[in-house]
Amino acid sequence: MLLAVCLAVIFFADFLAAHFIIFHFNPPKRRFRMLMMLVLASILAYTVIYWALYFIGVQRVFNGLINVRVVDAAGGLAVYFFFYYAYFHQIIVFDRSVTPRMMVEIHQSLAGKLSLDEIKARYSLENKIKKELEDMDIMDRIRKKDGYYVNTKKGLSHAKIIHALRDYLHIGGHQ
Amino acid sequence: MIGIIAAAITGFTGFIIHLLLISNGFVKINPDWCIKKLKRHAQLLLAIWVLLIPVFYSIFVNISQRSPIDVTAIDTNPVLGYFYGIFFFLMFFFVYLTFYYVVDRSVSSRIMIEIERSPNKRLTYAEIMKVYDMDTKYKNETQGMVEGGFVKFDGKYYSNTPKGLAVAMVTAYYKKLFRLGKGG
Repeated sequence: MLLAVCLAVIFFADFLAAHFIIFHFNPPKRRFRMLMMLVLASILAYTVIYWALYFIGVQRVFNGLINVRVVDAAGGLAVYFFFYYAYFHQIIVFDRSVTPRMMVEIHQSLAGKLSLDEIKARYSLENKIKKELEDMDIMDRIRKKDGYYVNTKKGLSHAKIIHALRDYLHIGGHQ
Repeated sequence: MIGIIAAAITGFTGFIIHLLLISNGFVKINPDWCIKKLKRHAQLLLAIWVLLIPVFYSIFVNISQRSPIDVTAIDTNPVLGYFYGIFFFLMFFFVYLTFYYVVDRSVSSRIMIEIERSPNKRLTYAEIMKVYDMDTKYKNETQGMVEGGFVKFDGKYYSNTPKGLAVAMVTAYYKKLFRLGKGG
């Protein structure tokens, strides 16, 4: 079990490295598809290495390092945290995602279809921007002063990190 | 393995408690709130998570002690260990994906970047709207839905595909369940 967790960490790091290198030097057009291919490649590599290490007896060594009950309990606690993270994240996605809201508007329309103008009338992205600005003020990312929006220190560091990652990975051009 | 089972039982219990507290009005969440409603959900979930940690531990110990199967044999089984590692890998990937999508698609991040890029590092609402072209945003979003197979476009109207209909129905249900309002 400890061997499996260690290999999962190593191959996840390997996935991240491959993802950063490929997205930086050869940005793919279909980014999600590339991410999935990298995940599958990492799982394949993990499979080969895990079973190779098992057959040469490395797992027995790992099982002797830390009591398996302790590893099981710690792993369970990590999974317990993950379940809550995923549950809360799904609430955020359902609340704030643009395209699901558009699909709901289409679904709830009388004819079950909407033109672009009708979508704009039912779901104003301008109002979304206004709400985002209010939220950023509450979350101390920006401040409104004399009619101007200014980044706070928190907002500035957030902006710098996101900007650097977008530039490096060549993503974020379509939001 | 027992840890995952204990986590699943405790987690599921916590989600039921969360839903009961919201649906019965014991915890007030107003759908018209902006970020405040998400903060309230986060605070509630954190409190439930912390309070149920002793329950997780108790379930873990009870299953370990009362299980008719040798739990050490389960924990050292190589096949179960292999899938355990895959589960952890996918868990790490899911968490990373949530951050990836913030970097890729976050509206608020884009606004902060545009403010920072501006000559005086400040923008009015009108200037933000000029930089953040709404027509382009609508076009990108609808194009994304068509490319993703969620909607089809017949030249004038957008309609949901079965995939989009499933997303719409689940989204509408969750917005009602968690008192999120129209959102978006």
